[in-house]
Amino acid sequence: MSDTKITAGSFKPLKVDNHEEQEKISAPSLTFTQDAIRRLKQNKVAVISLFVLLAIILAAFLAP
Amino acid sequence: MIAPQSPNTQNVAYANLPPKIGNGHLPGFKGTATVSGVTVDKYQQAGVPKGKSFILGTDYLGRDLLSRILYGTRLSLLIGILATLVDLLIGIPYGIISGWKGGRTDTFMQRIIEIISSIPNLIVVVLMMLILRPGLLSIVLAIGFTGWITMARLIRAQTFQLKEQEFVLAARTLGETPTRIAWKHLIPNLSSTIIIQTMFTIPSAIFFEAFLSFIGIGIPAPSASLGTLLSDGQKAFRFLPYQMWYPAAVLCLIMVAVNLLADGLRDAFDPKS
Repeated sequence: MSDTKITAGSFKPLKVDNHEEQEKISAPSLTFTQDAIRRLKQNKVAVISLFVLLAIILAAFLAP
Repeated sequence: MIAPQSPNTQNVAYANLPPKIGNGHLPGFKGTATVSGVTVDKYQQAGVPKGKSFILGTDYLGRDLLSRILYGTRLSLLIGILATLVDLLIGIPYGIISGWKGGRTDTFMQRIIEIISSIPNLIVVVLMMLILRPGLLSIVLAIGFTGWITMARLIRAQTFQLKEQEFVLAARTLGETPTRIAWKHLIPNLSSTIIIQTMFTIPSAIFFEAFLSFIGIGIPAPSASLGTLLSDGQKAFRFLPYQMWYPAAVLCLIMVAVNLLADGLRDAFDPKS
């Protein structure tokens, strides 16, 4: 380890606009329900069974 | 629209016709049956006019099976939905009050739950038959009498956890009424439990109704439910298997679909996963 002295010159001021960029949240913020629906959509079996159920319910209640 | 015929119109001349679609070219839907080794056209024997066909056949009174299955499914689903409503309207408030109040109220309410849950469901139904006529109402009442217990217990346990949390303390300190805290803080945080438990209540209610109808104390004769269709089909299963296969297939499909969806919802709503 070499002896490097930390002087005032070894620091650079941070740009103001750069600072704002760092604070940015890249992913869209999701509510709990949105997050749950997103996770449900990833589950293929659950989505298929949801559509099967919807088909059965529609057929049963539109019967007459 | 979808149901081709009225589900209760009887025509004994057309009894026990096998499934047939259109002119009967599809395998399994030819409208023929094997009688003592010889394949015969049942539709011709019964004198059904050409062009008229029953997609899933007819039952022993000549009622169209497809229409009966559709109406039966509706009744079964209706029972599932009503049982869920009872679950939501009694189970959730009961659980929240019991968990929120704690202490003596909680002990008292839990003892009531234990007493109710110690009575077998079937006995409740049979006793209900003494007072009410068998039908939709008595089944829903019987399911409603005991169905909300699991929900109330789960909600109570969760409420115990939630009421110790900081946001509830903050709301209390700010002078919110318990009712508003329950609506604004407890129920949103309980939503995952509620949704999951609801999805498991529906199939168990449908199954319970099918079981009751199967043993003959469920929905009375003219109207159809999946249970009565199964019980009718079971009587002639050896000779006319289609009368049991199709309602059973629909029931299985509903059960599997609801259970898989419930599994998916549980995974989706569990914040820890």
